[in-house]
Amino acid sequence: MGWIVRLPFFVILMGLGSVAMIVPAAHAAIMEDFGTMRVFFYGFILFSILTLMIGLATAGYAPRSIARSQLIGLLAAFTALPVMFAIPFYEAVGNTTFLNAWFEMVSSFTTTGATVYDTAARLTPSLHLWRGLVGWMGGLLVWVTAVSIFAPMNLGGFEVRATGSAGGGATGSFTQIAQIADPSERLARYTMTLTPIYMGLTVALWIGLVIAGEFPYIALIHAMSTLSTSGISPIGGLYFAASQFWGELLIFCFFAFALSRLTFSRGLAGERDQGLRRDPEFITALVLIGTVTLLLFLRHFIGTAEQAGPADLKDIFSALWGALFTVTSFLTTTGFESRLWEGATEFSGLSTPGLFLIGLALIGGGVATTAGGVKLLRIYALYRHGEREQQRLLHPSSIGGGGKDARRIRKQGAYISWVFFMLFALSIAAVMLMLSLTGVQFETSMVLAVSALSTTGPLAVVAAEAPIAYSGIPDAAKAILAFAMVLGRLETLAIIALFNPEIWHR
Amino acid sequence: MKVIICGAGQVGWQIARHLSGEKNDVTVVDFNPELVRRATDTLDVQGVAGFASYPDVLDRAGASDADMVIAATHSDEVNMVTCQVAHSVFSVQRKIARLRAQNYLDPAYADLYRRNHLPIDVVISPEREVAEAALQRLAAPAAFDTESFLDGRAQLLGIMIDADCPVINTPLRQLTDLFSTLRAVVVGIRREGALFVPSAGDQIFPDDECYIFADTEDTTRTLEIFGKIHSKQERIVIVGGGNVGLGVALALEARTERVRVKMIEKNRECAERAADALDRTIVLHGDGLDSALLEEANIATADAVLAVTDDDKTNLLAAVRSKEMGCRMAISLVNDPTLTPLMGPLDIDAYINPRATTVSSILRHIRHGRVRGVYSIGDAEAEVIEAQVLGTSPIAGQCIKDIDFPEGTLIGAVMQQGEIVRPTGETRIEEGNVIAIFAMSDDVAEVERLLQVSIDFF
Repeated sequence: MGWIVRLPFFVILMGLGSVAMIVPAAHAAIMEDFGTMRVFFYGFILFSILTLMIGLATAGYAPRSIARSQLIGLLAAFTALPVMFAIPFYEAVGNTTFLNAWFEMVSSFTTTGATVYDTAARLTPSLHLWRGLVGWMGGLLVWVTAVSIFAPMNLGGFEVRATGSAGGGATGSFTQIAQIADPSERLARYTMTLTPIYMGLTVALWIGLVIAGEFPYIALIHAMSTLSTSGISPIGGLYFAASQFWGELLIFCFFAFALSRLTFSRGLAGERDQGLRRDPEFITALVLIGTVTLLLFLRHFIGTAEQAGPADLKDIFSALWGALFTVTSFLTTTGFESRLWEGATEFSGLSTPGLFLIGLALIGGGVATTAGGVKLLRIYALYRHGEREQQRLLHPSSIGGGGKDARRIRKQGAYISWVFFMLFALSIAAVMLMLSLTGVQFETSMVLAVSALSTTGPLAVVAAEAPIAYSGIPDAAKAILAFAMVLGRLETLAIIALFNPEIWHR
Repeated sequence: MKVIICGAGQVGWQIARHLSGEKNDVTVVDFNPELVRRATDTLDVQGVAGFASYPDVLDRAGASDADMVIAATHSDEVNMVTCQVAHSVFSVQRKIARLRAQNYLDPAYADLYRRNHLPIDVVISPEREVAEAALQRLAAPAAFDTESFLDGRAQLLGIMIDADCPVINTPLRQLTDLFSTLRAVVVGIRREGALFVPSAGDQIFPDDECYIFADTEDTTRTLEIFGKIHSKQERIVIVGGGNVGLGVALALEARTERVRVKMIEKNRECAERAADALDRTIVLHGDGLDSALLEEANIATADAVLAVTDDDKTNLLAAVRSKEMGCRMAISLVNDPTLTPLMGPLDIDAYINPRATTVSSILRHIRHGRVRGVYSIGDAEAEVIEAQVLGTSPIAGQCIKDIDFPEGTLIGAVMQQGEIVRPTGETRIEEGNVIAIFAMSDDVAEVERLLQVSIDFF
């Protein structure tokens, strides 16, 4: 099996992607949808052979820097692999353009979950399964690469706490006494560690949702899109889910895995084990969720009190739950909307506060989770820095406490977070500008830019004044959005790190 | 008694001076021959140059027939190993080690120093003791010297008598009649630089420095009678964030009443360490003598400034500058005992002498009988000895007036069955009582003899 590990990273991913096509093929066979079955099975054969040939051709390939080649491989995975995923999808749908199919696959694989197929019935169940599966694989890829590729290179949020510089790479100085793990070795090891956890969690949620009364097939896709925070749904959202409240409660619990890496991979990246209760990301997430939920709820509550008499307890509870679930869902960049969310807005008669959700999606979930956005750790670093600066206004020569780590987060961490934050903001501006050039309206382009960069596809439907349909935007805009999704998924810093002369240095 | 002192630095030298002055057989061991020579030149001690924890060095110092090893080198680890070697190789009975690192002093790990683990009988920590002394000074801001005795139930207060003190020019006998319920005794008076033990007919004059033994409950009342107002301290500035400053700040943070503490530390690393350990205290980085920084620490409204850096001159100047900028009280750490007369002219309210505190804590383990505490006053002019009275002691079962105490001694307080009793001539000392005796240096040996086992016993 050793030779598989030595293949270029992209070839391995391609192989896994082609093998995954068996799943929708099998599903279609059971559903007696033989047309779809044939397309995906042929896809499996075609791409397996292609992978095999590329694999043979590149078997002796020895890159100068494995870390760099993996980073490039990752970039290629998010841009080129969707083309492969899109080919059977395009064939199976039949009445769509290839651009749409490609957009759909990019959006799934980057765990964005934006769909150009507004009516869920336009796709067969097997195609929905394929979308979900691609999103799920994208999520797994993020889990594994975050710890095995980004962490040693101090990227993807790890740079906030790291002692070295961002993108610097793990060049240890202990080569005499210790063996430095080969990047592909590391990748293989973390894949073996994390895949069973990811799969197990998905299966657990699947079973849970089925017990709550969901149809198994819908439950599976919802479970996969919750774990990967893609927010893909075969039925147009949780609003139509049969599991109702209990299903939402279950999904809500599994959002925790997008809030902090410590929920599933404690101690993997080699830092100190500090426990979830003291994890800054988790605490930040809880504070954010609590505050925003309360604000939304109070807004609704006061709105009701002004208009009508006292609301009954059930309405209050459902408004609270609707706000809590939706807020958490958007913070984790999943984008599921609670079935009580509409009720919450209706019960007060106030419109949906979309800007809240845009802000939450921008903040995003935890570092090295499937969530996108700016990431909680960076927000935490910026908050700490701001707090410290206020103290320094009172006592200019005072020294902040909290330990060495806290000091590093406040100084270097906040600095690099600010750099990232500005890059993110500039990306939003750039994407908005480009979208506007293609003729999209200003507000629409803003919502679309945020939803693409934070990988929260459903944001477009919920956050804007009137729901935005991805099918209605020009083709050029779709391509721009697809690239924005890749940018949001990989994070600007990682792409900039690729241009770091140190990496290309011979 | 034969004593080996490892380390001829500040603490070691001071202990050697004290012990050799009391006719003990003292050997000083230090890595630095220069320091050893300094000790042998100025003191009646022997010297061995070498690494203190090496068995052969200890052997040369005569460890095989030594009664006690005091390990006071700069390194905690060397001190520990020295005690272990002295125990395992030479079977020395009593081992005292100085440990500075707070991590070794955590009460949770006190088990470490048991006989079959790391055989250290007594752990002394100068920084911690100085921090405690500083806290005591803060607790009694009107007194220039304080120390607690009898499990904290009685206090020795050193008070400067002002001209408006209500009890001046009155014989002490009259004072006793006047305040018959007050459990306080004047045990010593320093007049024009000379310390003496007062008799009943003596009077207190302005500019006297009085040492008073008082029940802790009566401390405030005693201070009021002597014309000092007890004020609360809410804003404290600490100059120096080393072990002493950090210890004081930690203790102040642990108090229930809210105390606002600001700390000034020059060394950035030291300041960061202090900031990490402290929660509410604001740590400022910079020179404690810088008036801009003192202003930032809001010195003008501070109730007290505590100058505890490792440099005497910095401490004195920081204290003077703070007083000049409006701080109400200044306490300074002074290593050099010859600087103490400067306190008056510099208007520094109180001082802490780290040597006195450390030496006191070591002395209590050297004294004979059941000595529980010893406090050295001034530049070894007098001592306060707290001791349990043994049944075999010549003073047990006698009234105080019948005991043949030397001229320069006075009983400050007696604790009988957990009760503090103000000693009078009729008070009978029973076996098991704890007494606190104020004794001039020349009479310490005689007091020890009284506390020891009497000849009749054999």
